[in-house]
Amino acid sequence: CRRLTEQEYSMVADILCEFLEVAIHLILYVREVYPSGIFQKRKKYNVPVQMSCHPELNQYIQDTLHCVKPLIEKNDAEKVVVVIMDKEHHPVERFVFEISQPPLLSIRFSSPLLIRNDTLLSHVEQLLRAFILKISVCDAVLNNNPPGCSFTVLVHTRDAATRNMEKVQVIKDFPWIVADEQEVHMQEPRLIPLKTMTSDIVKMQLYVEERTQKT
Amino acid sequence: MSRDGWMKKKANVGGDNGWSERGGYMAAKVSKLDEQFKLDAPREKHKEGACSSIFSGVAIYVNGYTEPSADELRRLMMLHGGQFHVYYSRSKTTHIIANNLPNSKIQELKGEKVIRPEWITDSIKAGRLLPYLQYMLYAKQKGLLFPGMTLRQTSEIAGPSHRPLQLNARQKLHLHSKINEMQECGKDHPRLAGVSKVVKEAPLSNGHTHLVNGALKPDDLSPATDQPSRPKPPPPNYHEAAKASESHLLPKQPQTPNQLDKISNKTHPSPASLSLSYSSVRLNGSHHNAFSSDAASLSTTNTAATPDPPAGNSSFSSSSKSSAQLLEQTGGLISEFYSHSRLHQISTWRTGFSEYVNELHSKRKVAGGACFAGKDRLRKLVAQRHVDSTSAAINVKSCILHVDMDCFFVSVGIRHRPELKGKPVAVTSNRGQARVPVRPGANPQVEMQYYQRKYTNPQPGEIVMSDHFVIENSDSDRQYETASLSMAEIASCSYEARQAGVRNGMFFGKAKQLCPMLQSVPYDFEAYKEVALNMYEILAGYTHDIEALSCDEVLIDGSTLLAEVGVNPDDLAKAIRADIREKTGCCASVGMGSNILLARLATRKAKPNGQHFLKSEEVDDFIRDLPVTSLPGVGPVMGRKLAAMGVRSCGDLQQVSLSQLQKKFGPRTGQTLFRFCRGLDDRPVRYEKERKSVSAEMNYNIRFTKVDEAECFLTNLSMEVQKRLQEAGLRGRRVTLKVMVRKVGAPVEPAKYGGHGICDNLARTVMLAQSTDSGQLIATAVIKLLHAMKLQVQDLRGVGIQVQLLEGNQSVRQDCNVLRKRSIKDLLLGQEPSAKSNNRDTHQEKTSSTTVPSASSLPHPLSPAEPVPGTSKEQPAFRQTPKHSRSRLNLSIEVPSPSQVDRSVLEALPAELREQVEQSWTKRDGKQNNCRSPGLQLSTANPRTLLLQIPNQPDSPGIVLELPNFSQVDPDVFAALPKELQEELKSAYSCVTNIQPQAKICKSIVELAVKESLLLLQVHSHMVSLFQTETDPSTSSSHPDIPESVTKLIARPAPALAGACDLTDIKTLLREWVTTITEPMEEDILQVVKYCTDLIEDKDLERLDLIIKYMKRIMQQSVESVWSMAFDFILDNVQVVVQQAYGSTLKIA
Repeated sequence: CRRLTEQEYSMVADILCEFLEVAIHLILYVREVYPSGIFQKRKKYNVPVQMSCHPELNQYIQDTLHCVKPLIEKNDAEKVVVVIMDKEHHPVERFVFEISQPPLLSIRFSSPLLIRNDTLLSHVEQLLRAFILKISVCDAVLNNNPPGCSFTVLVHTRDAATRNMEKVQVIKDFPWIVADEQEVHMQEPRLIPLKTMTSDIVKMQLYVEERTQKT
Repeated sequence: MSRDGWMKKKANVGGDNGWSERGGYMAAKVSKLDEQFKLDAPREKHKEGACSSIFSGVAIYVNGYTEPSADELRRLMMLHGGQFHVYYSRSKTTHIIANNLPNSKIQELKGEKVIRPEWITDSIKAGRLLPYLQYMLYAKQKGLLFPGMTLRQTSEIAGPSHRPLQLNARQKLHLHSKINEMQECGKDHPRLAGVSKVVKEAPLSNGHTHLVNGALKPDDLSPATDQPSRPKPPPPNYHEAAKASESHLLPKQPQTPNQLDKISNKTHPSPASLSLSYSSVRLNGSHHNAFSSDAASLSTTNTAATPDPPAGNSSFSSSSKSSAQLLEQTGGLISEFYSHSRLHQISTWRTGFSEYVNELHSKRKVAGGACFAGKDRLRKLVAQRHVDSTSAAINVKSCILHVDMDCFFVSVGIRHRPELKGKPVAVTSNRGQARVPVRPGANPQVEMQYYQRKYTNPQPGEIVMSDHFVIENSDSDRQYETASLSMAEIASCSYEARQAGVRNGMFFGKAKQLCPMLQSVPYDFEAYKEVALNMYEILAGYTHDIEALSCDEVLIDGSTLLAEVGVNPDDLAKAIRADIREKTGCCASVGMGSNILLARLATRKAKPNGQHFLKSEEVDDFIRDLPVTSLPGVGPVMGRKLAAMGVRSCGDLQQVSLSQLQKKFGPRTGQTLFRFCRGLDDRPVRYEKERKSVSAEMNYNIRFTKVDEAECFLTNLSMEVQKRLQEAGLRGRRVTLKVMVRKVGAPVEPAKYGGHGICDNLARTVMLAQSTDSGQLIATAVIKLLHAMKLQVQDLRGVGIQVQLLEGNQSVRQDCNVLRKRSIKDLLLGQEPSAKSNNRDTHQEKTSSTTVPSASSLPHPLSPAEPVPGTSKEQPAFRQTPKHSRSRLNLSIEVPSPSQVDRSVLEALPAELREQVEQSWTKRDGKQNNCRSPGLQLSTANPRTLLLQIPNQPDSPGIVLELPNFSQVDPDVFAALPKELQEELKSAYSCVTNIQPQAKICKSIVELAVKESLLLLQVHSHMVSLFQTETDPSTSSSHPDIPESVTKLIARPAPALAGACDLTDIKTLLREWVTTITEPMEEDILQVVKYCTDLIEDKDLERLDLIIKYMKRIMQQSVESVWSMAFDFILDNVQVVVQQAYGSTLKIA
């Protein structure tokens, strides 16, 4: 039994951020936050995904994740939330990626080198693929969003991570701010679990909170 | 049509569209279609030639694809006098025909009759309208009853005539009023009621005061009397009159005997009239009256009640009296019922004998020694043998003897009738005639088929039309034959009869067909008592290590006896059998083996009149070829399941792995099967058994008309329970109301007179604030439950009250034992059926249900009444399932081994818990300590109540003290706490959620448990989970002794339900749970809730979602409404936890 090394954490953070980027793009496409015209079909995790080709949007997503990464590395991020808001900036849907440590750090790999093990990575990739597939069909279980939605990314941090975040700006002029209550709070939310994964290096679940009355 | 025109038309829809004078377009279309149908019908008929009016009054609506097609059905309806609706009309359409329906439609058509098209084709084949009950597309069609519909349906079955349904109903009601009236006459004018002596005699001999529901004014008298002086009142009056007779006590009006004569003359000679057949069945019903009298008056009733019209009248009145009895405001009715029901007594004998054995033991303790006549004789025998030969006694380590009388009831019945020996003989209440007339309203075939289907096809959801029904229905002659066969059950039959294919429990009529030589022997309860008593005395002469199984079946632990005396088991068995034969004149068989299972199996081989010792070296060969169904606990259902696995013999079963068995049948049953098929059994012979519940049930002759009557009955039944509780010196907290409700669409009058017919079994449980033995408290609780169930009281067919969670004042009980010092003779012989003995019910069975046996086997020869097949079969299941589930749960407790437990922690636990832990250790060791100290014994009585008090226990200060409500905890504050503290608080809260309700009412729980009964479920607290938290050092951080680092190091195990982690395993487990058990145990439900909560804590919402969805599917599909309630309860709980953890609730589609 041991905890992940720092190096391993950065590995995990890399993997997760890469995944989150893909996931956010896909969510924006599936939930029709942006017109489908700005999306292009790409292949990731061996499945087709949609990716925006709007440079500013891509930049925003990249920057955001860039700032999320250090939090994941320190295991400070508890949840990464993609919030879809209506015109009045009230959230209608929240895609919550809940990240936690694996239940039992496997005794199987005691050497940090083993994390580069191809089988492990391909296993994680399989699990992430399942997430992607779930996201691409999640419109089946969700109600349609009202027109004119926008989105934002929230991070729920553990412990006193916020103070550090205020101190250190990963990207200049792109600081974290404490989320408005309005952005966080949702009226009568309904929870729809989408996917849960447990691998040796990370445990993550994705669920959607949906406002009962969207319009 | 131009576009414009179309638009115009569309615009018109809202306003006048030209059809308004004909009630709108649709109405016009429908009526037009009807017209067309009517026009087409004669043409079709003409074409076809063959036509009938089977379906007159039936209007079908075909929904979706059917086989045969809708067109064909339309044609058939035309031919046979029915109606066909192209559009469904709730008011006009009587039946919906469909082969299958989508879920949404099922929802939409809730409460409607959805019937498979075979009903039509089969009805045509049969040439009459068949009851639709077994053609219903969905077995679970709950909804309002349409009494009128049902009535009509039954009337169509009862006779070929197509009476208007109103008349039928009226006639019945009217009949009722007549009964009352006649009864009235008999009572008021004993001198005048010379029509039949028995009218007054029967009631008088019983000394029953009968309450008369009401009297009718002569003006309301039936048209059947045809008195010229009396004008026939218009129909609605009958109805009112009948009602009035039931609800009001009208001023009694004297009647002339002349009038009475008229009534009886009129009712009886017309054979075709419904009233006759009704009354002739009531005639059968007179046994209720008869059996309640003692033996002497029994014979008088016998002679008096010959089936001539006056006697018919008498039983008529007496039977109505018995229904009036039910409603009697005076108490004592139920206790009287119980004291008269002899079968009930037989069932209580076992407890009586157990008590007897108990007493033997306590006596021995007091006296220091006892004389064993049999043992002494055995000693002599051995000594003699030692002189004769020098053969050394074989030393057997452990030897169990299973003594079983050979067809007890028969051999007792014919022991003074040597002429019957060697002949096929059956003990039954039937007098020997194999046929009885059919009552109207009763429909034996429907019930027969229902039960047949039920037993051949365990899955209630899927309905397979078996050819059998079709054949039976198409052959109406044969069908009438079976209908009129006697339905008296055979309680026991001789080996000669068995050879002819007759079986115990078979209906007499059928048995007689199989074996025309079959002789019937009446019940002789006195003799049974005497012989059983003799047998027990003989056995007690050998040893006191006896476990009474029933009045004719005993287990003996012969190990010590054999070692002491030095004989071998065979000699012992021989001696016992010779003794029994000599003193009772009946034969007994003895099976011997090293454990109970083997002894029982050996008895099979020993029978009849023999003995068999199953040596340990023979066990393997012997057991391999046995069919699995011969193992105890493997009934038809499990047998079928095993057969589906390809397992038929025990040898096959040995090939199945333990894990597979446990997966399929649950941990406990799986283990038992695994062991049994290898001949392993570690159950000890117990001469003492703990009592788990006290109950009283009646499912015979329950016919309420008003809520008041039901309430009154419940009060009386509660008083009966009170009596039993007090006699047993017990108080209980959990009160369960069990009711049997006539199944929707089942015949109003079951085939068996007074029986319950086809029923749904429902149960509701309530937890009292404190244990009680007060009948009043119990009554208020159950009446509330009854109201909460919102049932039609008219449909109640059985009512039972059960009290659980007993807290014995053991001291009182023991005192009783010592003080009573009664011999078994007092116990049994002192019980004159008519005498009200206070002692009697002290010896009730310990099992949960004390069902009043249906009158099937009552001793009265006048009652060829048909027992409902269900009575005997359903009841055991009823009582076994909860036990089964409970015991299985117990096994899932994971207790650390003794070495791992801190002694001081254990000491600090409440006695109950400690005992539990210790017990599980002894169980694990495979040893059962037989002689627990009384103090400890007491403590098992109610583990849960005391568990609830844990936080208040002064001697366990380490445990949670004062905690705010979980809902009041600020999540931020909570999150800010160090992890260890969070852990600790969490586990504390998990304890508190279980404990709180008693200590102080937890708001969130109150909120969640909206329904009262559900709240109580919660209050019950979950013993298992609590137990785990309390004793498992790895998870419980509340014990100061356990280093906290342990909690950190040991990873939290994956959430598991009864040991299963895998999703498919859990699904199988849940499916098994829902399909095999009719009534979920609270423990199980809470276990599932706990598992779900674990999943939430484990952040595995996906699985939670899957499991909730799965449960929703299987539980809401279940026939028992209890299951949907269980699901709602689980969901409510889960939602609360999700709400707490995520601030939102799960979306359930």
